[in-house]
Amino acid sequence: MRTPVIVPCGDDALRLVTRATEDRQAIARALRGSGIWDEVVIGRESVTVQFDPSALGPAKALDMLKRAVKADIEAALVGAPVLKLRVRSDETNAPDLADCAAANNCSGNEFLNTLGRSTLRVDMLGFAPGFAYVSGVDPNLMGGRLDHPRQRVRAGSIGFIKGYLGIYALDGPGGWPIIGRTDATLFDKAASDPFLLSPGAEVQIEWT
Amino acid sequence: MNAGPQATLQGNQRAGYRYSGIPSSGPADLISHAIANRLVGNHASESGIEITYGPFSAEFRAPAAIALAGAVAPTSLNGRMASFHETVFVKQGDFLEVGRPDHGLRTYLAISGGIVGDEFLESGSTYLPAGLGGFGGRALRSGDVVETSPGTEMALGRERTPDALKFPLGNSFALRASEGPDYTGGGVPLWTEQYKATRRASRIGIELDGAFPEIDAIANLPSAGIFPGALQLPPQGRGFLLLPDCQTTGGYPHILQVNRSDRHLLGQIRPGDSVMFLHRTREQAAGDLMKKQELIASWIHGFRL
Repeated sequence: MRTPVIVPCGDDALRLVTRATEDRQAIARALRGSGIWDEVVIGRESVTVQFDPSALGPAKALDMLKRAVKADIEAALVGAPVLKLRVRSDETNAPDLADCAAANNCSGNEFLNTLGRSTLRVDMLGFAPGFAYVSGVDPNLMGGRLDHPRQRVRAGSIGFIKGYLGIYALDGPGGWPIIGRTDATLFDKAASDPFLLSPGAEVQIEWT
Repeated sequence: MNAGPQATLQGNQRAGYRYSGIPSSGPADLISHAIANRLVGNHASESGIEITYGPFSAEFRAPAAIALAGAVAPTSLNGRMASFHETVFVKQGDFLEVGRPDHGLRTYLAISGGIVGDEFLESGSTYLPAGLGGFGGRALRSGDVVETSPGTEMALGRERTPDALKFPLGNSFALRASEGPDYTGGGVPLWTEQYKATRRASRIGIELDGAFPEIDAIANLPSAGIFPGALQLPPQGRGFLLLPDCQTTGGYPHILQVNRSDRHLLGQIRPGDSVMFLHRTREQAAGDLMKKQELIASWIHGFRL
């Protein structure tokens, strides 16, 4: 792995910039396991850590992060979970599938078949609690945000924007065109780890 | 109770879950919340009521020690003036009324024993956008009844906040800040410009009007981890300063970061207030933080910002 660039983000955060998904997942896991950092947040091309500057000075924090990255992070995605989701894509559950398909000059089924050939992996959680950005989508499929975001998207909804699927763990507002919905319990308030999806996990979707 | 425009239960920050998209939440003004708790003998992590720009009123159904801190508002107990920054003992049937503050935005009401709320990921703090924690995940409404933890002993003595810990609030804020990852240094003098808080203000963030630097490829940054205190620059050209309920990742340019030492003040900025940023290096920022933290910890044991 190439040494990632480190960018300070204000007084109490540092950002490692690295594009490869495997690197980010492995780095994040190592950093989280170290117990040094208050927060370890995976971004699209980065991992950002937050620390307490009154306990760990900024120079020392930078030094520790550099050392952590050099250490044992060759192990890529060994042991990442595989999650199978059944996703319904009838009109009620996939209100934007027809439009997405039309934008790619194909039928809804053809669109989903193309998606089905993609190897999908949770890249990061963000935007809203448990919202999963899933990468690996066939780059030939085009599509952008809705012109008018919805006030409420149901939990379990699967959105599509070029290159990504976005999975809504909770009800909430959203601007992704919705191409399906799963009944799987993506969020369990009472669980110690309340979200089914985690960064690095492989997602296998059965479109029905 | 009568909860006013927005009152929520806030306790400790929900730390360590940003990788799942869960923000910290917790009091927007961490120090005022901790002070109110200290005055009634509670640990700083206990949940109290964060009152946003009164008016707020409540009738007590049981005796308790209560305290108010944060944005000072005309306040009465059974019609008689009541003070901020000291322990107040209430009896069953007592009626507390908190008006609108002259300066600042959020007033903190602590009650001995702490208020019981929904625990979610080791915190009782309310996160309104997803309806988690606090009072059923929502803001308090008129008619709600909250309960304190049973079996807690009331603070015996009357306590007062030391003067050095009362941060005076006005209509302008000078916030110590460090450069963000997308800081360019060119163009607009970010460190001398005066900004004005617009009406877009919530626990998620505050919009600032004023002159900001122009940044290329403004909307095309890959989403990355962000934290409260970040000043983002969305394409419409107004800054957005993030508060405890902000998203965990964002793709707008992050031009500066209000330092941890001064982030508690963000919770007190109200629409129309002016905001300036004071440039600090990261080393200076660490020193500022330690100094303020030591000051608070001299009275609130173990306090951390």
